Amino acid sequence: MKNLDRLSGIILFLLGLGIFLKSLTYPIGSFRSPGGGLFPLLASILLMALAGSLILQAFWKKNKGEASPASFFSSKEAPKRIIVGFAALLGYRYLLPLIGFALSTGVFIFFLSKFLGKYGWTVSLFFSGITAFVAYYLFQVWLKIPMPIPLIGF
Amino acid sequence: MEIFQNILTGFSIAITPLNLSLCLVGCFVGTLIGVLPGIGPAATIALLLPVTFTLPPATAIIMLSGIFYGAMYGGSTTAILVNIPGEAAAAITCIDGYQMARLGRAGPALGISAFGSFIAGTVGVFFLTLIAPPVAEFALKFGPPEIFSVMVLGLTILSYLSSGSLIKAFIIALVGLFIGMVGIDISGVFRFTFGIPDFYDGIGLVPVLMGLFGIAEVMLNLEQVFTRRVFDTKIKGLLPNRQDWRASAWPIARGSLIGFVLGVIPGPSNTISSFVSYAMEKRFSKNPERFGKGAIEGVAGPESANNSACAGNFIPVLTLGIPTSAVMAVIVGAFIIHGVTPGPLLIKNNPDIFWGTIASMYIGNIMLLILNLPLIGIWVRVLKISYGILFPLILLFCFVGGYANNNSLAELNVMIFFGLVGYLMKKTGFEPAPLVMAYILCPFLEEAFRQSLIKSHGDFSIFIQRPISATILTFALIFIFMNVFSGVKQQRKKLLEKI
Repeated sequence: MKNLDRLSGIILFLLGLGIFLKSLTYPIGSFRSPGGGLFPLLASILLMALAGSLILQAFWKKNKGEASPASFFSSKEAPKRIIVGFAALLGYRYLLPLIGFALSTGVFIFFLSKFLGKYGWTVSLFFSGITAFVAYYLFQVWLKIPMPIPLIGF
Repeated sequence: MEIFQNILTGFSIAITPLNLSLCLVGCFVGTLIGVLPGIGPAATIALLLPVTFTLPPATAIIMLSGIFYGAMYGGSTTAILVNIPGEAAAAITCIDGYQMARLGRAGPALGISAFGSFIAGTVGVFFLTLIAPPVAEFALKFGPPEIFSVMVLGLTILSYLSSGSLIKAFIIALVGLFIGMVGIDISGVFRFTFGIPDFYDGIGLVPVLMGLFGIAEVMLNLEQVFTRRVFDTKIKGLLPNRQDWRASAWPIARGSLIGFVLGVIPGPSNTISSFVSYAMEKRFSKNPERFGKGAIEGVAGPESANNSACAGNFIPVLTLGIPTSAVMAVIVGAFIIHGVTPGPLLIKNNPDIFWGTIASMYIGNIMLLILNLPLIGIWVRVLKISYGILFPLILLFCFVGGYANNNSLAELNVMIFFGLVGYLMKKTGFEPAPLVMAYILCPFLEEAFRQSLIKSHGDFSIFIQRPISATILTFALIFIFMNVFSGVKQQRKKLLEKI
């Protein structure tokens, strides 16, 4: 956790620095008449200070030799499952305008049930087919949510 | 007398067929997600926000509130039957509730939990009815410096009570502020939009909430394969006997009071109140050794406390516009999406929402009692649904909700991004609640800050020269300094470990 603290502290410090520099490009005004850049400027200074203390704290605890902690993932399979999960979300996002709501939903649900839910082919196909059908009629036909018009298919 | 008149007006709003039916929907969905571990009320309310867009604001708030307090009822069912809290607030119920189930007393455990929840929920709403109007009237005296100070206090206490490091909680609240700054500011400056037109109106609340709560929660659960077993017992005799009632009467009364008081304080007060109530009952008990072995007081007290705390949670939201927890932050978001500003003027400008919501809570508690006792069989069956079936559906709802918010694919990108951010935050010990609260409060906080400075001609002492603002900021400072002293720090750590 201490290594993670150090890493997240550095990332957050850099984020603060980026916001600080970007804030300088907005009208700062004065304390009497604050401009749009003043509030983010002050908040970014505070963020850099706190991120700095998080980094120092992590170094200090490491030097004190505090016990190091459990690994980032809870199981061996976890990183693979997380990557597959986010890949499915991104895939769904990009398939949606390409092949339409019903078909992309079917593919998405099938992918999740088969590869993350660990169901067999038959169950996954059946579940994804039913879900896509119900979702299509519920959201697109009944609730009339204007889903993107597909480039391919229906 | 005026309050009586107002509450009657509230009931006339709450009992319209639309409000009544959506209150029932809210209570039903609340119980459902309370029963199901792996999805909380904040995520559910975020998921259902787009569904409320076409509803009148009062109806939307009535339904979303029902989800919140309904989840507290449902959480205990899972705790008693499966030994897994459906809701964090029901964690302590596992101890004696599950033991009662093992002793063949699942029925009375579920019964006293539902009755205790009903009594405490109603008592809590009664306190809310009495206390909210004078607090709102007092808050009308607040100028920009006081509003700024109250928001700082809210953020400080929420950060103090967030699990993990205080520095991390403050950092993540600042990140929330920056997210809230994206878009056009009050003086017309485009900030942090990077030329992307979708960001000109700011980053949408719905995709942020769905990402942080919906997707991140599912991803965390996906790391492991869920297995759970419902305790194999026939549930019979849901009505507690006379001895059960005698043992539970005082725990319910104490739980109602302590729950409401703690509910007003920012942080995971539903959870804290149930732990405090359990500790209190154990201390008051003549036979504390029975606790942990199926003592009904250990179910009655905490379950009452967490329901009463729900009503307490609404005080800062309805009177000051300050959310005290992640769920309340989402509810404040719902107010804003519907063009209503929660705060001291709510009672004056939107009495239909204020009194309608309060009145609906009385009705909602009766609905929940009916939903949770005669229909217990349904919830037991729901418990058997595999997470493998549930999580694709949750993600599908996130997707449809995220897209339907503005019919925008860009918002789906935002949602997936915040899903990843939320997941990484959880893994690195950053809580999402301060981020969401700061993000929602940002425009109000900045406006109050800038107006205060303009008013004082750039003099920062305005925040400490005005007595109310100075008092509020002193409290905020006390919370920060409390963390510096190791004794208090240890106490905080112990409290958070319990949570």
